[in-house]
Amino acid sequence: MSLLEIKNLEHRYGNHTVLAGLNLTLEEGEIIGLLGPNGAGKTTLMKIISGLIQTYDGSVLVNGAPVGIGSKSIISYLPEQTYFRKSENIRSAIGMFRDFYADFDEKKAMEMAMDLNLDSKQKIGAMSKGMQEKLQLIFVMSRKAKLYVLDEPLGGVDPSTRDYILHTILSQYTENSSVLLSTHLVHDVEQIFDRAVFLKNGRVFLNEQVDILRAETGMSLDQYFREVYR
Amino acid sequence: MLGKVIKHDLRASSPLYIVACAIALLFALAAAVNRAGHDDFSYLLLAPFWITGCTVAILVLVILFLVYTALRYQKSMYGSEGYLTFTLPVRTAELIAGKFIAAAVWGFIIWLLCGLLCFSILYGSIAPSITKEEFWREAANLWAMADLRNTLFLVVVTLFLSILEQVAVIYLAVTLGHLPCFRRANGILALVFYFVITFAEGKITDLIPMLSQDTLESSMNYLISLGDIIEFSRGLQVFFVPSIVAILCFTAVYLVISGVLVKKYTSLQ
Repeated sequence: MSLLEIKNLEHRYGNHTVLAGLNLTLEEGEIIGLLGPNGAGKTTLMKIISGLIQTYDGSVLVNGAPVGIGSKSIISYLPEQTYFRKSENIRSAIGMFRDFYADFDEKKAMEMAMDLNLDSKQKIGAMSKGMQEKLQLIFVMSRKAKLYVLDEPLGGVDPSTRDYILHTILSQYTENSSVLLSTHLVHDVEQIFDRAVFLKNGRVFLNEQVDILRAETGMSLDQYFREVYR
Repeated sequence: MLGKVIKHDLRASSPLYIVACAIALLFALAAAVNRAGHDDFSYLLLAPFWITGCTVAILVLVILFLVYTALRYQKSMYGSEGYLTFTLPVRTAELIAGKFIAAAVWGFIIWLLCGLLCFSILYGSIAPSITKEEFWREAANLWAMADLRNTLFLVVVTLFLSILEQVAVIYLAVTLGHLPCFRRANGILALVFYFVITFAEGKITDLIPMLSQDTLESSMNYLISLGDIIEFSRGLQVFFVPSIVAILCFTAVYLVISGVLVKKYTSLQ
């Protein structure tokens, strides 16, 4: 049974077709780069997988079951925007994750928050946007999920934060899980990808292991990305 | 999971409500204490201030409750918090029910507080020449009248259920306003839907003979013409039972429709 099996996925936003019969199958134990230019449908695809968009045609199976409570309990999703209440503090946010996610490691989350010199009573709204994004990543990666869905975690962050994010992803990721990470900053992250999925015109243009891709094309993933989306 | 949704929703809305309730309680207590503890002159000087404060507090509490209920629902479902809400492993029915119950808890607290404020207005408005003992004796006499007591109970229950029904209307209106076919001005659309639902409900209620506007008006005129408070209160009771049933039915329908729409048409685009 595949971790993620998508067949003929279609989604329209108004008159614009975002996904046009997308097919994709992913297995566990890989870090997958979901690549494509802005507007390629990366975020929409991730939202559908995570259960934020219900209005679509086609079939999406996560661990053999349609998107629902079962899939939500094994998917850890990091959206582009911060979703915590501004008036909430770290302790209260941890309490929420602990209550709802059986796979949430509270101790790990607290330790990682302390590493950032964050006070557990500090209001989330009082933190900088960058710090809020780091905190959200900590929460998402503190779950022992089967599939981590990370939407543009590197967008608009400084190089040191980028390193912190990549380090956090790699240190928390286990072989039993998979990471689906969308980005258009391919150069900065291509070394961590096992597999690359290219989206083009609402469909999967390419789904290949990065090593094979490099060997076949003689290019780095970033160079190939630029070639495809030139 | 329902209990957890209720717990976190109560926690999310508690900071504002605690402050608002504390201020309202202060006015209620101040009006009562002012009546009980001051001499005639200072009572007459301060009573208008406290009584006006209590009246404004009732209005503010009710409006705040309705507006904040709408804002919390909108923000937690369709705002940035929705990205967490809809990725929680919780059934849509539990999500809506949990939010509704949390709102009902705050509604109940506010309703109790409004009752206390009403009492403070009443107690604080009594002329200084009437002693506390006389006031309580008169209150006990009124309370001893079973018909009056029952009517009062029905009024109070109906008012509380009406508040809850408003919450359900708000949920449905906000949900409709955020359907995927509406891509902008969702807040304004939600407001429009609120008035449309309220208008439609009024039309449907008019179809029920016992609750129609005409029946209500003619019956009220008749009861008032009797000039007897006991007869008046006894006559009113006839309307409350069907009203309560209608309110409960409408509330259930609104919540079910909201749940179905959220489940089938959620789209945080």
